[in-house]
This record gives sequence, structure tokens and C-alpha cells, in this order.
Amino acid sequence: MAPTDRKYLKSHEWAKKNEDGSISVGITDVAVEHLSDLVFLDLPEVGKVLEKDQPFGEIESVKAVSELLSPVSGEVTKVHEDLADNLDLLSASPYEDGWMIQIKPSDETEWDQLLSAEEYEKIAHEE
Amino acid sequence: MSKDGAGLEILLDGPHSAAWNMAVDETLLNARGAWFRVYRWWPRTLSLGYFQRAQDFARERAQIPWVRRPTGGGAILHDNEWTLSLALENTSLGRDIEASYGPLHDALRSTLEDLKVPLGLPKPSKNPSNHARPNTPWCFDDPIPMDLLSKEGHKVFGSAQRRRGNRVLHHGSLILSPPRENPGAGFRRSFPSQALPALLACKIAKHLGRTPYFHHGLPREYCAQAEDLARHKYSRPSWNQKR
Repeated sequence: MAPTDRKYLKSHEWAKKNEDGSISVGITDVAVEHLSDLVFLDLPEVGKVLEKDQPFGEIESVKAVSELLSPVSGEVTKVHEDLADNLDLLSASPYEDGWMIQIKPSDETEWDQLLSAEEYEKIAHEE
Repeated sequence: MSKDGAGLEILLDGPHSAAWNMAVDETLLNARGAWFRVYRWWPRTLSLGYFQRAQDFARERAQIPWVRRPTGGGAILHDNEWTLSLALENTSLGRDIEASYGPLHDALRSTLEDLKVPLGLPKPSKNPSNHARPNTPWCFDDPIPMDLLSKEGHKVFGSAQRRRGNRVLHHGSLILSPPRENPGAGFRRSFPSQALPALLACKIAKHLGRTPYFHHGLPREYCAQAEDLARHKYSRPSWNQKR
């Protein structure tokens, strides 16, 4: 089940609000299952400005490069630098240890446009 | 073009430069509808997978033109070869990435069987590789179970993808004879391949449950985008030497 303490994009990215106001971003267990054997990951640098629904990174599995979409607009404040060399973390713990980036959001209204866990689950299982 | 979105738009394209070939494919990834394109490369060209390092191919890059593909996988020598590209909504190919390679591979296998070209058995599956990276930078030196092999056991067809939003670009490469830089790839016996593109186009349309529509060249409405991508992305070091 998708954790209820965060929100989602139908393209299988999650977003979680942190106490300092930043938003952590990663991909769901459904995404990891679809991707299967992960081999490469590319994440942005700290300071990069992202737009909602635009790519913030790329991941390769089974010779397929998938673009990772940002759930919100804002500036990248932290990057999980070790993740690219420890892709097992994504499989083992996609919602905690497999976080990818943290964003300082620039438009608070975008949060309400994201899917709840229940809405995401419904879409993910209809695919 | 099909008006109801249920068609497969088909481009049987001529040989083109590396930058133009990749630009057209990205344009089709960004387009609406389902597209299938078959083409060759002129002059012979090296293409690198999106995540590969250019410095690993210094010798080859000094000798022939090269380009970085938007799709993953390993390096390919496009010489006596057909490249196939399929661009459409990813729901048409199924949710699982490994399974999504099936329609094009099945259609090609069936087409080659119609042309009386013998194929070998697929490479057996092994246990999950635990995120192992390939042992070789060359696509055709590293067969995986979904690839097509010749009767003699050489890899003759491999694929890679780029997924953007709800669409996917599927690249496939059919090596007709071994290039000198990558002698382990391709068929050892020649076969009459001129009929293959049209036969395969109809076969893939049938596999996808779509009606084939043949185009004479890239439709005018897409040319500006393709020209922009060729000039400002696939011809530039900022893309080709990004790794």
C-alpha cells in the first residue's frame, strides 16, 4: 500500500512534506516493480530549479531510460548522492532510504493538485 | 494520418545522418498517435546508449561519426543494419518494462520466419542480476533473454527505450552482417532483406491491433521540431559528450 503520509503523481513519483518545509521526492514501490532491474540513475545538482511535471532525473532499467517527473516546482536543496551507487536501496526501501531529492517549493498551491494515496492506488492498479 | 487515433503511422525512411535520425525519433516520441519508422544511417555511424561514457569509445569516435541516443542500452555500429523505432503511448505496450519489448520482438520474429530466415533459441533467463551493469559496452556482445539470436547463436536484434510521461520510444536494431568493429554481432548468412521493412510494418500494426498508414517522409508539421532537435541537440557536444 502507498503510505498515506505523502502525495503522488500518476507517473509513480511520491512527495512528502518535511518539518522544515522542504519536500522529499522519490518513486513508489509500483514504479520499482515496473522498472525491475535498475542499472543507472541520474539526479540533478543542488540549486537546480525544477518545474512541476517536468523531468528532474532519469533512471535506466532493462535498457529503458525513464524520465522522473517533479511533483512540485522549486529549488533542489538536497540530493541523495549515494543512491546511484546503491540502487538496492530503491528496491528495499523506496519510501524511506530510497528518497532521491529534497525541494524547497516555490508554489504552495501545487501540493493540493497531487494525488492522495487512495487516488494513486486506484490509478496504479487500473494500469 | 488516421483520424481516430487507432492507426499506426508508418515511415519507411531512407538513410540519414546520425543527428537527423535521432531528432526524428524524438519528434515522434513527442508527437500524438502511434508511429513506426524503419531507417538506415549514412555514413556508417556509432550510437551510444544514453548513460554510456563517450571516453570509452575514443578509438571508434576518431574514425566514424557518432551520436548519443535518447534510449538506454549499449553501443551499436549502424552499418549493414536496419534501425526500427516505435513511438506511442506506453499503455499500448503494457505496464511491465521487460514485457513491453514483446510486441516489436514478436512481430520481427514472425516476419523473419515468413522470410524463411532461421533464428536460434533465446538466451536462457538467469536469476535477477541484482542491479548488475553490463559486462561489455557493446549492445550486441551482451544478449539478454528477449533478444533475437541467429541460428548460429549470434545476437541479431536488440532493443532499448526512452520513456517520457505517458509515451515510449522503442529503438530496435537488426544487424544484417557483422561490422568489423563488432564482429560478434549480426547474421552470418545474408538474406533478401529489402521486403522486410514493409512486411514488418504491417506485422507490427497487426500485433498492436492498429491500421497501417504509410507516409512519404516526415509530415511537414513535424519538420521544424526535428530540424531544431538535429541542429541544437543531437549535433552538439553538450548532448553527445554529456558523459
